[in-house]
Amino acid sequence: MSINLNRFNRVNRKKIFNRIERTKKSAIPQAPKRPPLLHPQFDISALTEIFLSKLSASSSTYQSVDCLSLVPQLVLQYAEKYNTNKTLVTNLDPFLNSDEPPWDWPNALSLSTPPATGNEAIGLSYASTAIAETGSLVLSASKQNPTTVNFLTDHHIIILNEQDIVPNIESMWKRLSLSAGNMPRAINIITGPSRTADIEQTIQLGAHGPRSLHLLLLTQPSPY
Amino acid sequence: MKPGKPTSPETQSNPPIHSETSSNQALFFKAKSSEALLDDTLQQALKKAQGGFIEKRSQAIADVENFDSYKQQAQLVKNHTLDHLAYYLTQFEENVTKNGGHVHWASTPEQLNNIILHICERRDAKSVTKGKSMISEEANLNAALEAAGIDVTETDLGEYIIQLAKEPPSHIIVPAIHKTRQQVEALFRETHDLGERDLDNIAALVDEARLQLRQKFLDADVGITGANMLIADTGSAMVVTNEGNGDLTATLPKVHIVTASIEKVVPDLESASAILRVLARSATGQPITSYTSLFSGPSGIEDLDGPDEFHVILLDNQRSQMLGSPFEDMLKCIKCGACLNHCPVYSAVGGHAYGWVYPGPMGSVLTPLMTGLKQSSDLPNASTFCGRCEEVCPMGIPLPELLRQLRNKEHEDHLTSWKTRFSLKGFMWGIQHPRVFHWITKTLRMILANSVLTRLLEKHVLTSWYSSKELPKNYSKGTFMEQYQQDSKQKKSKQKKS
Ligand code: SF4
Repeated sequence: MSINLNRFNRVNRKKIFNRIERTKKSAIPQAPKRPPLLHPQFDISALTEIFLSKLSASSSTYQSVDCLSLVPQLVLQYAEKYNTNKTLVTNLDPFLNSDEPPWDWPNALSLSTPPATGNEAIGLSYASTAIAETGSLVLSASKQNPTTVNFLTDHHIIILNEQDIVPNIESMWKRLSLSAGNMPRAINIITGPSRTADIEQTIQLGAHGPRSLHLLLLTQPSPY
Repeated sequence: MKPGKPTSPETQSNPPIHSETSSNQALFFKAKSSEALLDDTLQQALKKAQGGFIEKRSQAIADVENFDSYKQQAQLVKNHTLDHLAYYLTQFEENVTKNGGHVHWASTPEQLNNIILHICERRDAKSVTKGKSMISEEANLNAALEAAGIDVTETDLGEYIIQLAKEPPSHIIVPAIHKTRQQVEALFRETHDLGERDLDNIAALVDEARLQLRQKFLDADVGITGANMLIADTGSAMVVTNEGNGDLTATLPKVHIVTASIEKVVPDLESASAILRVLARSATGQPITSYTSLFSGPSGIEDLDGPDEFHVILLDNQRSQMLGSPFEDMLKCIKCGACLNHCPVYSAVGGHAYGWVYPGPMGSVLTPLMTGLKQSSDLPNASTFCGRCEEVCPMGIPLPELLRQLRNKEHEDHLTSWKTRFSLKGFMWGIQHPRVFHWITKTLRMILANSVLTRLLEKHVLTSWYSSKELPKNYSKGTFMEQYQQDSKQKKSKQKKS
C-alpha cells in the first residue's frame, strides 16, 4: 500500500540532500570504496570451546546431543526443571526429514504451532549459525523459525549444529549470504536470555522475552 | 486532530515540541544543578549507579586483546560514511524500497511527528508501543500521539518508569537511573491494579512490568522503534536491546515504524559489526547485548508473524548543518553513554539538570547545536574539562574541544554575561600594558600576603566561588618581576664589588 506522503517526502528529501551536498560531502554517483576493516581472529580448532564459554558467560545453558531423536525428552526434562507448564510452540516438525521422523513428542507435552501467542511456556527453534566471538545464536525469521517463538515464550530452547559455529560477527553475515530484496524480515542475534538493569542497575533476567535460554548442541550433522 | 480525518503532514499543527522537556529548560542548568545536589533521593540513586558502569566497561575492555584497534575500525567506518553520506542514504533508501518498505524524510522533529501521525491515522491506530528511541525523544513524539488520542506505551523498562512518572529520561541508555527501587514501587502502586501483590524486591518489580507490558505488546496497532544503525547495503535497521522489547514492538503490531537520524547509516553489515564491537562494551560493559536484530521490511508471504507495513523515517534536525562544520565530529556519536558515566559533572547532578533529552558531555554539545546556543548557553560551561569523556569515547570525539569551540561561539555571539565580557576586556587591556599589569600583580600579591584582607575578600567580595574554597596564600618576597629585579641588582652590585 503506498501512502499519500510522496510529495512531502520529495520536498524534504531534496532539502536534506541540498544541505548535505552544500558541504564538502558531495553525492558521488558511483559507489565509494569503503576502507578495508580488520576482524578479530580466533583459533579455528577451538571454535566450539570459545563459543560455549561465551555462551555460558551470557547466562545461557547448553547440553550436547548426538541424536535428534533425543530432543523431545530433553525438552520435557527442561520443562520439569523449570517447573513450568508443558506447553511448547515450535514449527520445526514439517522441516524435518519426513522419510524418517527423527523424534516422537511425548504425550506430556502439549504442542502448538506458531505464531506464538504468549501462552506457551517453551519455544523450540533452530539456529542456522552461531558466533564464537560473542557466544550468540543467530535465527532468521522464516516459516520454520517465526520470530514470536524467540520472544513470547518463557523459556527458549535452540538447536544448533556444531559445524555451524563461525568465528566472528563478519563471518556470520557472510554465511547468511544476504542481499537487498532477499532479506529475511528479521534476523535475531541472540546472546543469552532477556534481561534488564533498569532498576538500580541490578541485572534481572526475563524482562520481556525468555527468562532462560538453553542450547542443544548437535554433535552429529542433522538432516536440516 | 480529529481521528479519521486525513491531514496533510505539511499543514497540520502539533502541540508544541518538548512541552515537558522544553528546550529552554536548558537555560536553567545552574538552578537545576543546585537543586539536584540537594536532592537526597537523587544523590542516593546516582551514587548507586556510579562506579558500576565504569567498572563493567573497563572489565569488558580488558577482556579483549586490542580495544584500541576495535575503536579504530569503528571510527574508520564513521569517517568514511560521513564523507559519503548522500551516497549511502540514497543506497539505503533504494534497498529499503527493494525490500518492500517505505522511507520518509523529516527535516524537523515536527515533521517526523506528522509523518507518524499520518501513518497511524491511515491505519486507524488506537494504540502504539514504543521501543527506546532518542529520536522520538527529540521530537517529543509521545505528546503528539497523545494529543491525537492515541494510547502510547514505552516498553523499555526504564522508559516505561519515566513515562509513568511523566519525566524526561535522565540518561541515554538507562533513562530511569535517577529512580530508586522504592520510587518505582510507589509508581507501580499508584498506576497498576495490584491487589495484594508484593513488590518489595527488584525481581517482583520487573515481573510486574512484564505482566503489564505483555498485554500492551499484544494489543498494539503500531510499533515504533529506534535504530542503532541503518545498513545501506541491505536496506535494514539494526536494533540493539537487552530486554527484547524492541523485537516485540517490531514483530507483534501490524505496522513497524523505525525512527532514526540520518547519520545512523553505515555502508554494510561488515561496517556495522565494527561498530557493534565497541557499542555494548562502552555502554553496559557487555561484549554484545542480549538481542541484536536486523529488520528489513514487512513480513513475506511465507512468514507466520511480523508486520505488513515497514517504514523508516529519517530525521535531519540540524545534522546536515553540522556536516562539514567544526562540529562534524559530533555526528560520529553512537549514543553509548560512556561519556555520561565517566563525567564528574553528570555524576554529581544527574541528567535532568541538562534540561533536554541529551545530558552529559555529548548533550552539552548536541543540545546547543540542535536547540540553539542562546537557549542552552550554560551547557558548554558545565564542564571541568577533565577530559575523561574524550578518553572513553569509542568514536574518539574530541568533546572538550567541541565544548571549547561552543564557548568561543558563545563569546562571539555576545551570549556571555557582561561581567565576563567586561573582565575579559579588562584583562586583555591589562596584559597589553606592562606598567598597569605590574601594578595589579603587586597589589594582588600584597593582598594575598595579608590574611585579614584575604579573609575579607573571600567572605564579602568573591562569595559565590570562595564560600567553599580558600584563596591561595602568598608568602613570597614579591611578584616574579620584583624578585627578578632584586636578584639582577644584587648580581650587578656583586660584580661591581669583585
Ligand atoms: S560522545 Fe562518545 S562516549 Fe558519548 S555517547 Fe557519543 S559515542 Fe558514546
